[in-house]
Amino acid sequence: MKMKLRFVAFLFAIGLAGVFTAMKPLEHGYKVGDEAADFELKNVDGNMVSMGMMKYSSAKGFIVVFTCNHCPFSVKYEDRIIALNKKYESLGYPLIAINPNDPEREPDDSFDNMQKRAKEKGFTFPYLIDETQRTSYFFGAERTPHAYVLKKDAGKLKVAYIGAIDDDVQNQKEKKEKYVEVAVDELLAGKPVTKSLTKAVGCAIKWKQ
Amino acid sequence: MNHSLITFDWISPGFPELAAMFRHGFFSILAGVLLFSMLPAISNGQSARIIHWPEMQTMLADSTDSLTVINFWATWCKPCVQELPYFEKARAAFAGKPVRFRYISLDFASDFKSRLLPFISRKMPGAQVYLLDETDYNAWIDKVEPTWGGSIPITLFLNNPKKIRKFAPSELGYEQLIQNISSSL
Repeated sequence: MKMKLRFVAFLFAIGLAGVFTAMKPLEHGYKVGDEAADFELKNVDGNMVSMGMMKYSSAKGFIVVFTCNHCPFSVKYEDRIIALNKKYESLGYPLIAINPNDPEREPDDSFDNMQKRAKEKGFTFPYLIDETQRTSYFFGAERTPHAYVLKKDAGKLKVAYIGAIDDDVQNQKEKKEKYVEVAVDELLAGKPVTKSLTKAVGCAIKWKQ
Repeated sequence: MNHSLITFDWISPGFPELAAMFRHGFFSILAGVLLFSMLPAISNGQSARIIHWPEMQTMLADSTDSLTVINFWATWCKPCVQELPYFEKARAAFAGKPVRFRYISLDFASDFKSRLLPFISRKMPGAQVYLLDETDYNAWIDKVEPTWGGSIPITLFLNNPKKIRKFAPSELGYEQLIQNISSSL
């Protein structure tokens, strides 16, 4: 009888362990070298944008920046994001900006306000809203701004860089370490990216509650 | 007359206390005068200042016999601002205990006077606030805590003499904060 009880307790423990393992959140968030999945998100002009669309058929890769309206760090980087696209779109690395925030938690980041900001600043690249937040979640974006450089490799999109745009949020240093630019330059030269991961400080993404 | 009594008396010295201070010697008087001259600054919450990495490093390595609660925050960070009242409540609750509260603001140095100082006098008068003016985050963030991804708020509970070190990677509730402090003393 005692043995039987012990056995039942043992089975129960195994079952419990199973439940807890299943409860662990799924692994998400790309690492350098991972293959990135495409997305289809609404742009400020009302059209849907994906990396696989015709417009981008000749792109060699992408600079994807998770950013938003309200965050002071994102605001500091706006002009530099515009400059990045200006420099690299023609070289085959167009920039795509994605706002990951839940507008209910941060009304400044609503679609209307995104349209206003894109117009004010004259964004020359798509500024997409991630309404379901799935894209941001799958990428593993955590803050704004959070930059990813993707490289087309035999029809697949490989993550080549994750992190900050440069080492100077305040835009005061004469000599910056321009992480994203260096990464794209290295890819364009056919070299591996030397610094493929940095920490991006910024505003935590406002996930839906 | 023990030392703690003296420091208390300096805040509102009457004549007997002044006489005692004379007996205690010239240096006590000098220290008293110095403390007095600093009081307006302290009470206005103007003890905030801009620091750089070496001073931050010294703070992290402080081995005096007490717990240092180091909170990284910024005025623009909503969850940080939401948890601040809990820290201020805890600071009051642990007054007189060997606990120091250090608030490390990651606001931009250009916002120090216009934004940070008014915020402090409004929301956290008397708190020890330091604006860490080091915006090349990748140069130092791992030295604070390797698992810190870059989000704020984060809080460190450091009791170096007792080799206690705790890291809270996100915002804390009041109960969690108290628990962390009590278990790090």
